[in-house]
Amino acid sequence: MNRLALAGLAAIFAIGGWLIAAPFVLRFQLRGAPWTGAARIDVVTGAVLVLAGFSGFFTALAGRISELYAEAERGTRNESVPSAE
Amino acid sequence: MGLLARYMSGLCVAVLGLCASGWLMLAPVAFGYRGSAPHGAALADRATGGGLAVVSLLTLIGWATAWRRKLRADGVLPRTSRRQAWREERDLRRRAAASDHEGASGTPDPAQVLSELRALLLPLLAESPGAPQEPPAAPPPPEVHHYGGVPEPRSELEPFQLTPPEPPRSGIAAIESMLAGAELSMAGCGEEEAW
Repeated sequence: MNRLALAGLAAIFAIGGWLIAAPFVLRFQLRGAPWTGAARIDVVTGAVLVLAGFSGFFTALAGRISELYAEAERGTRNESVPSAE
Repeated sequence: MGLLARYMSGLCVAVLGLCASGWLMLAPVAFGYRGSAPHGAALADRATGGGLAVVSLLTLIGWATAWRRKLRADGVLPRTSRRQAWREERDLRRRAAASDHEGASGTPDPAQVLSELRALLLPLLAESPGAPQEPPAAPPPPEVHHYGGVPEPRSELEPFQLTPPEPPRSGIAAIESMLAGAELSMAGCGEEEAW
């Protein structure tokens, strides 16, 4: 379930990237021409999604890694207690 | 703090994605570029908004489920949900009802059957005329060989008694022995079933 949730965050990041690129890929925003309202909305929304997806993904990943570190530390403590006795 | 930030960030990003999807769906209508802008813009926004809504919803469900599991594992939330507890209670009730039903319609208790049989047979035996009133006389003591004061050889076996076979039981003693035999056989059957 954690992997699915992390993949969801990565997908949101990817959709944001797609929204930034869409006006140029689909050619409804030509180079050098003044920006249309649709292109502006797409790029701004895409940028917000990219930022949110990126920060959310790496925050969640960092939390998972710190959890793994804590578990490993707990495991080494439990192993060291019987050996000391 | 780290744990809370992890799940909260996931949930917040998913909610933000849901809001963004709604915004993308409504933007072509709200800003009126449905007709004026090139055809691809509105279609791209709607399609992207739909996909983003699905992805965000799945992400939201995933993070909510993961957090709930974590809280259960840490003991903050009860181990079993209300629905699960209700199901377990219902199964227990069903099992109890089924065992009661089997006990009512199943095989009767052998000890009870034997005692009832004994109570039925005892008056019949007391009324029968051929029932012996006293036990038969004890048989005479058996003869022991002494060889006229001469010590018997060591190699010879010990003198043994020839006991006459017991007379056939009759009346209540016979019934009692039959009942005891039936009781033993029932106990044996019960042990075999238990094995």
